[in-house]
Amino acid sequence: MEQPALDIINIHPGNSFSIYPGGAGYYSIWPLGVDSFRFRAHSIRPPGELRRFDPDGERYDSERVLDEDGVAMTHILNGAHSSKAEPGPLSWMEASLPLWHQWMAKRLA
Amino acid sequence: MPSDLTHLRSSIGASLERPVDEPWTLDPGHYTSPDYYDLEVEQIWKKEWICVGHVKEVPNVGDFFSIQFVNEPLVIVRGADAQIRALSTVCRHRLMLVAEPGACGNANSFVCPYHRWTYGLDGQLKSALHMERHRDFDPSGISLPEFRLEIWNDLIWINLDDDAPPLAPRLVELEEAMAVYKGPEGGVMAALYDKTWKGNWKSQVENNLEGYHHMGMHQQSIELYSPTKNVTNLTHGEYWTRHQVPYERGRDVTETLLSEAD
Repeated sequence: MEQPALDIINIHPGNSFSIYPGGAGYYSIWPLGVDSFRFRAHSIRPPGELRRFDPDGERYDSERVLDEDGVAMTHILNGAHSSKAEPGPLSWMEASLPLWHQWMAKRLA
Repeated sequence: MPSDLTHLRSSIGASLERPVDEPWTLDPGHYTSPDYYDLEVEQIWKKEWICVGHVKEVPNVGDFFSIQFVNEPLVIVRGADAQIRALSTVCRHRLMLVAEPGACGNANSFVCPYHRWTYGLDGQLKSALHMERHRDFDPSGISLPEFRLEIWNDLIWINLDDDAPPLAPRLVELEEAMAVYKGPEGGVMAALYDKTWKGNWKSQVENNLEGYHHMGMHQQSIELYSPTKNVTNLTHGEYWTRHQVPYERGRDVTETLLSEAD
């Protein structure tokens, strides 16, 4: 049997979809300025699954994960303002980034 | 500074020439330049499709939620004809907003709080008091402007560009995978996560594009069941990218989350 997986689909420019056993989340971001953005996330799943994840039915199950990303975003912005900031090499696991940069380049260059 | 903008445009343009198997991050200025950001708004955010919600967020006639999308305050609302629309919330009288960004609920109409001009769920002006002495006033010709909206796999997408090509044809390759958003039957929505974050929007996009950071920022959460070392199946199309992170064998995501909650 195939091992269940987290399946992440990103549709440019700011749409991310997380498909996993028993549910599917979507994450929309759009900018509010050069240094802030809106993050709107929701997920849909069968009624029973929601109860399993969150007995009270209130908490967004991935809130902790998203908040962890939020901390990183603030620090990255600080880093980008540093006089020592420079481009760095990327891992093969980040192969989607240059593709995304090329998508933007076709619209901005 | 214009020279800064020229440099950044040239820099992003160079990414078209660089082999994708020798990837580098962008110049830091791409994340901090106000001029470059203004260009992004004009060339990307005012032209591209963005998913703002799911049809289950507005299941009944009159259900709505309002957002501030880039510079546009707008409301997503299901009308009496069951159609979902994206309407500008800028009153046609004195530019007041008929719905505050972030508001949601169910309404019969949108009433401008400033002078009580009242609009139907389709945006059409229904009433405006004390306007009878204005010779050119014709309520039938006044309505809240409508933005492009497309429903794709039950997801609500908007586009500020009236002339933008339709969304669905560009995503044909994802149709099968994204069909999961049409269901399941009786599916329910978890609580909404809606926050403003400090950071440049592209940093978050880049974060979503890779699972490399699971072992860092998420070492006590998703790394436990969906670890970086399992990242696989990187694929892409002209408008999208995709990757998968198989769960660790023997790990149940639900049990992990519940044990964390305890």
